[in-house]
Amino acid sequence: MNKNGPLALVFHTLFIVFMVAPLAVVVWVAFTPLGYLQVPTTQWSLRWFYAIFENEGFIESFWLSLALGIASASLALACAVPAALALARYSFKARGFLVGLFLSPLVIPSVVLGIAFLRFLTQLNITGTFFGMALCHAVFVMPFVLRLALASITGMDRSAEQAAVSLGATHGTTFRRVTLPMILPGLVGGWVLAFITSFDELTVTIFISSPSTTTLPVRLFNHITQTTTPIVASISAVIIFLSVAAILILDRLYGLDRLLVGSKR
Amino acid sequence: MSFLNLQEISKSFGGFVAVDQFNLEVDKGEFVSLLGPSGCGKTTTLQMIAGFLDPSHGQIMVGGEDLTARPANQRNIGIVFQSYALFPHLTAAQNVAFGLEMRKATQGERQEKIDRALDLVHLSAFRDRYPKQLSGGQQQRVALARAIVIEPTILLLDEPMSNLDAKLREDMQLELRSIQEKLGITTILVTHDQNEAMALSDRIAVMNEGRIVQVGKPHEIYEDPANVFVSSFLGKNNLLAVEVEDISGSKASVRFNGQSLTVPCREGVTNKEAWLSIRPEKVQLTDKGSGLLEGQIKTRVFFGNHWLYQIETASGEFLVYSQNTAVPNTAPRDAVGLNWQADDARLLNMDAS
Amino acid sequence: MSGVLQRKAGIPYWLSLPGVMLFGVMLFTPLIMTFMLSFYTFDFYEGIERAFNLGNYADVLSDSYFYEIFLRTFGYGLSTTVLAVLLGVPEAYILNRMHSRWRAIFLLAIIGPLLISVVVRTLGWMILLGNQGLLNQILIGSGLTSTPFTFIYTDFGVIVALTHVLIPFMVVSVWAVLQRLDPQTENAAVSLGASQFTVFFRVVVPQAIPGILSGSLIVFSLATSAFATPAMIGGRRLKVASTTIYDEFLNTLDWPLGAAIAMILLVAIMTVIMSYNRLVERRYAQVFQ
Ligand SMILES: Nc1ncnc2c1ncn2[C@@H]1O[C@H](COP(=O)(O)OP(=O)(O)OP(=O)(O)O)[C@@H](O)[C@H]1O
Ligand SMILES: [Mg+2]
Repeated sequence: MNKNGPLALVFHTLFIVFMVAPLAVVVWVAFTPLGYLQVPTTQWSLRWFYAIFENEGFIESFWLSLALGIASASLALACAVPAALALARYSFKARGFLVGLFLSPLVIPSVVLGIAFLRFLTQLNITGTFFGMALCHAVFVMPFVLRLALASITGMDRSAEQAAVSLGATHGTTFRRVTLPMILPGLVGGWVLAFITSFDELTVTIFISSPSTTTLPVRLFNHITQTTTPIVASISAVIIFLSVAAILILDRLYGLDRLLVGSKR
Repeated sequence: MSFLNLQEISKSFGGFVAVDQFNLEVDKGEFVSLLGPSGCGKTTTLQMIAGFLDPSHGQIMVGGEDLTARPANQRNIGIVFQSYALFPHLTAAQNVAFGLEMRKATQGERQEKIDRALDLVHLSAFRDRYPKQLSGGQQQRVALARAIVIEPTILLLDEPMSNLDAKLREDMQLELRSIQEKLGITTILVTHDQNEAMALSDRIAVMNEGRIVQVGKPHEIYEDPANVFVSSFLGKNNLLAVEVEDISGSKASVRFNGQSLTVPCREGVTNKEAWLSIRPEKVQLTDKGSGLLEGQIKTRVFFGNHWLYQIETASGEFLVYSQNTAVPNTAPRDAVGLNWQADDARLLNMDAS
Repeated sequence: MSGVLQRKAGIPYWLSLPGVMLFGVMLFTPLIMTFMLSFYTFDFYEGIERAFNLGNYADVLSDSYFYEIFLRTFGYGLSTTVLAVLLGVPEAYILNRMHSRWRAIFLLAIIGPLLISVVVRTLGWMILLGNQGLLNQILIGSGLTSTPFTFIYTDFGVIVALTHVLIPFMVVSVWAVLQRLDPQTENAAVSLGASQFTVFFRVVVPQAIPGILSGSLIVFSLATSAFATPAMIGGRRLKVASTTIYDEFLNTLDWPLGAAIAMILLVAIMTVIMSYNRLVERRYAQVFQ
């Protein structure tokens, strides 16, 4: 039912250009042969992509971000699944409070979280450790996992569980063989979303990273504010490629709109 | 000349023909129902009259004017949608006011018309409620008030009762008919409920697979269906395979079970093999051996005002309704005879056309 | 199953325990410590001193320098929100009217960037908006201007980039609402004589208001607490609350003052969110829900 008028389509086109242009231009610049951030017009080169592999700092940061994302998303998932079961299946006094608590990182400004973590980690003397950073990341990715876990548990048809129990399955078996497989897509979606959020995060992480534990976005940010070599563009281009791949997979797996809008009712 | 004139309108979506050469003439003030099974193109037809869909072919004439190319917002046609489509952010009165505002009615005129319309649908007390705060029946009446307040040339109703429960539906049908008669407004109702169509309409257009199969007064169509589709879509009927011996004018003599019968016959019956259609309420149970057909009672069900019998005969199963006048002296497994007046049977072609 | 379990009242608490412990240790404690930190004192030579005085708050609230920063912060927040509404709502409407295949593709193009690091997206705007940037090249090349416009390090540049970063939230939350509307209400309005224009403003927008409001809330709170975009496009001169806090913590090392600014930012944003929610609930409770 495409009933959009010509004016609407012009607006739409401009809007899409607005959304895509900054990303496209980064990818474009990444292919420059020049030594500064300029869109190439006549010549192309992979020079700045090769440069990434010679830059140990960026490579290290990439692996750190990857590990951090995996660790924090997994930790958050481990906390979120039982919590979501409790919140979805039981009505108990602290329910409202707990929902608010677990979703609160969404409304607390990232800088505030960043300095709070910094203060806390300094007091415990674990600033710049992987362990400390993973714990911090687990906190702010938790809402994403929890929301999707909650949605898939509440959206699940309880009668399948009842059928399993009626056929003689124990509660443990029912959970493992029926509940878990049914809510798995939601959990996977939540985990991936949490991973990406952790991988991309700057504002919190910039406070709690140390020179030896600098994540990719932090190193990129520092690099951009200090110099303007096109390596920042080639690294960004790689991030864009990886993100697009992740986006397409997520969309296939779960539907991007459902993932980001959350299923309302 | 008729007031609303649909001339040969067709609509196809891609290769699929949803409405096929649809012809219908409706007089001013007439109430016509489009009746047909799901997916036969009723809504599509209505949407073309309203201007939300462009016909692939054909013309829509209203009062001698060609409306086919006129935008929907300039047709002055009132519609009640199946979902009511009330504006959820506006109160009942504001919903009704919307069309008047579009017509730039003055404040005073607007108030007066809103009051009158809400009064007509008995909702004056609910004028400041939002749709969410109204029951299904009340919402439906707001939708009706909103559609008629603009004094449309034609009122279109797309299954307006399908979301109401049985009791409310009956009340609303009566109310709708009385409002329509009071306003004298030309109305087209889409429904797949045969009782609703028969109860409300001056005429019914029975549709199947995008085409009109038969148009006529409810009683006419019921008594004299054009074909097997119509006769089984409107009410129940018993079909008996017969051999046509001779057709002369509107009478035909047919043979079945070794007996001959002269029955009324529509034009167009040609085949040697035809159906004899008999309504269940036209069949009488008689003593064994004295009927046109012999059978055995399979089940007997009580429906309050009548009994329903299922009777096993050599020519298939027969349905019989008999008035609840006294406790019947028949019981399942009894052998009985089936009888009917020759004039109550209809001869129909074996194929559906 | 539920019947058996519900009798054991402790179970939901046991299930929530891991999460509660994580949040108790890693969120509640740090926030309390930061709150206390905001009352400590700082001396350039002596460092941070444990104390309880309101000096930091007094410093911030009496200094026009900080006023300017907060004004700018909320100015960015407000402008970004307004732009996001003006552009995002029509776009969501257009998307909703599209054929579903196209809509899926464009929706991906619009909300996909949410999953790409803000640093990367802002870098794109730095390249586009710079004095030698693509936009100026196009403007000069087309003869519209002879000297480059200054976009970068200006309020305009920051607001445009912030809008780009945050507008997907607006589109998505408005679209989520539009999707659930009865499309027949638009047809109903048309049959009553409304033009396309009237339909949009009188029928669609009012029904989309819950989505516009929740979208605005997200955009506003994220815009006022944004760090990367104002830092990269606004630079040193156009400081906002977040970048100021960053400087206090990592350059000046006056943590207590930074903590006080953070607490003020937190309270301000929370106040806006809560009063907004209150307003929405009161105004729209009877219409929707
Ligand atoms: N936009 C469309 N694209 C393709 N096919 C369509 C479209 N709209 C309707 N159809 C098809 O046209 C046929 C008629 O549809 P229509 O909605 O008119 O049926 P209807 O008689 O109103 O049925 P119901 O009683 O179920 O409402 C259906 O087979 C339907 O699938
Ligand atoms: Mg229909």
